[in-house]
Amino acid sequence: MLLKKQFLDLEQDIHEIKLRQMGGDVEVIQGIMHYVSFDVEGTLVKYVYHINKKGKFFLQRRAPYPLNVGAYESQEDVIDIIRHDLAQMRNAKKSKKFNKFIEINKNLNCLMRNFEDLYLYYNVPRQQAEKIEETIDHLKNLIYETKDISERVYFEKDPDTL
Amino acid sequence: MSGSFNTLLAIGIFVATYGIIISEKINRTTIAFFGAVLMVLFHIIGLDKAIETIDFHTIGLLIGMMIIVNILKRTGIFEYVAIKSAKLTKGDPWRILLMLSGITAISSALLDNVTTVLLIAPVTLVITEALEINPMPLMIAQILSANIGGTATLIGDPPNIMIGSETGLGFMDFIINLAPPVLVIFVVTIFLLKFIFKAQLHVKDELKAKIMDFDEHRALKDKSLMIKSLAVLSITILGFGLHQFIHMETATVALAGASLLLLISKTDPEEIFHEIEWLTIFFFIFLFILVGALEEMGVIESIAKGVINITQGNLLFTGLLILWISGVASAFLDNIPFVATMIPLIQSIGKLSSIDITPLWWALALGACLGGNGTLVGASANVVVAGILEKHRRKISFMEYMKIGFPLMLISIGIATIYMYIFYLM
Repeated sequence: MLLKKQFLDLEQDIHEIKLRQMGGDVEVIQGIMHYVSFDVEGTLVKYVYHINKKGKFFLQRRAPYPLNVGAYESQEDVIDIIRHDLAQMRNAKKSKKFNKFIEINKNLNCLMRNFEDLYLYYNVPRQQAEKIEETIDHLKNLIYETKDISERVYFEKDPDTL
Repeated sequence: MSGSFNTLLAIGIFVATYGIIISEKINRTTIAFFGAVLMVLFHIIGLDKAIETIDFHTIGLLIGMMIIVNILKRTGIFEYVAIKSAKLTKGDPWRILLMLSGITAISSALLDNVTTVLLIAPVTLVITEALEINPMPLMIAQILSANIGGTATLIGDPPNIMIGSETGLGFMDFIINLAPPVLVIFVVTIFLLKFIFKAQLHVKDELKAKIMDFDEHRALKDKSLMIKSLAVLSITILGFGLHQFIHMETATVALAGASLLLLISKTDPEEIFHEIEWLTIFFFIFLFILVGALEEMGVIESIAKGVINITQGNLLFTGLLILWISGVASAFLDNIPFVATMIPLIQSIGKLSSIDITPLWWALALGACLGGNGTLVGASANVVVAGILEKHRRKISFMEYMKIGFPLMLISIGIATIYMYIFYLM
């Protein structure tokens, strides 16, 4: 039987050889991948982060919609962010518009992928690119405008981007 | 409890443990641990005596070499050599098979076989992917080469490590007595593989060119560490060559090399010690206790008397019997527990008869190591390669391998028989 560790080492070696042959500088850091999931009143909220002895901790939310949450210096920071995120999710869940909120987020993620495919696969005319930028600016303004007229409901932590 | 009851109990525990090891239903270390503990629990062997039966020379040699290899493999030297060799062949698959088999055989003569195949397999898979060919011929060639190459030296295969440790035969004794037949067997095997895999090793010229795009220098991860590692490995191998003359055990040489490399490489000892195959180390420890318990009960001596009765103390008959039984048994069973049992048996034959048992050690080493090539379960390297192929959706069946491995194993044991007969048994 091929032991689990032997298989992982072998796969790691194959990936490393291929990436090095592509010109990449590969550093393998041993660590443990954490998959965490919570049931927030019927909605699964899932996270993944890598914990190791050196470097930062990269936290990602996988569900209900994917989001790169950020890189953190310590495990405590990661746990703290998850705690806030969960509290915010629980709070948001009380809203009647929760499902709408999830749907909009999924659409935004999809939009990002659509845009990436657009500029990676097509030669986009300048006029069209400017049109997209204008629409995004408009969307941004709409978000700020909505923020200004909406009541703040979470005070444990300040927003990261607004 | 009476002596005869204890003897029967010891045989029962031993046979049941070995049976479960063979069946692979439970992890071999787990069941060997359980069997060894039962031997102590039932007072078949006392705890102090059980600890005395552990051969710390074997354990020390294994741990020392594992530390050196774990540091050495971080340098990327194996990938470098494999890619460089593949480029020298200009992408010709048959020559790549020849080159990688040669590297595997030489490496496994100096390192353990599983480590060798785990080091060469990733490069092989990347190369065969680039050439768009089935990796199976190259991987089978590596299994055969690893087991053949490992036969040549004291440190190449666990059975040889155990034999060397228990008998006092040195590194150079193994090379002088085993390397010549191993070289012949390797050449014959590779020659036969050319005919077996002829049809599968064709590649279009444009794919061959892909191999030339590989850059072996990109495989090297840490040049300073590579220089230190290769220097220490060279000193260690020199130490093995001289250990009989400087009156130093091979385990001492390996552990000295390992500690020196750990010191000068400044690698994280926590990571290096984590990489040691502790399951294998503890498997050896528990096997020594299991066999020690049988020895304690006089079972091994009784079997030795039986063997002498059958062979009438005839060296030729005894030698060939050990060679062929070891060969065929090792094709189906784990050769480590087999050799662990055979060592005290041959020692008892030596004590009870007037036979010079030195040739019997070579018969055991050749049979146990080469026999591993017979089937997919014959040696750890085979099992590991089969696992790698399966994970890469190239599953090789037991019979598929046996059709190639078993005849080649019989040929290699045949060559060993001729060698043994001419040089030791005639």
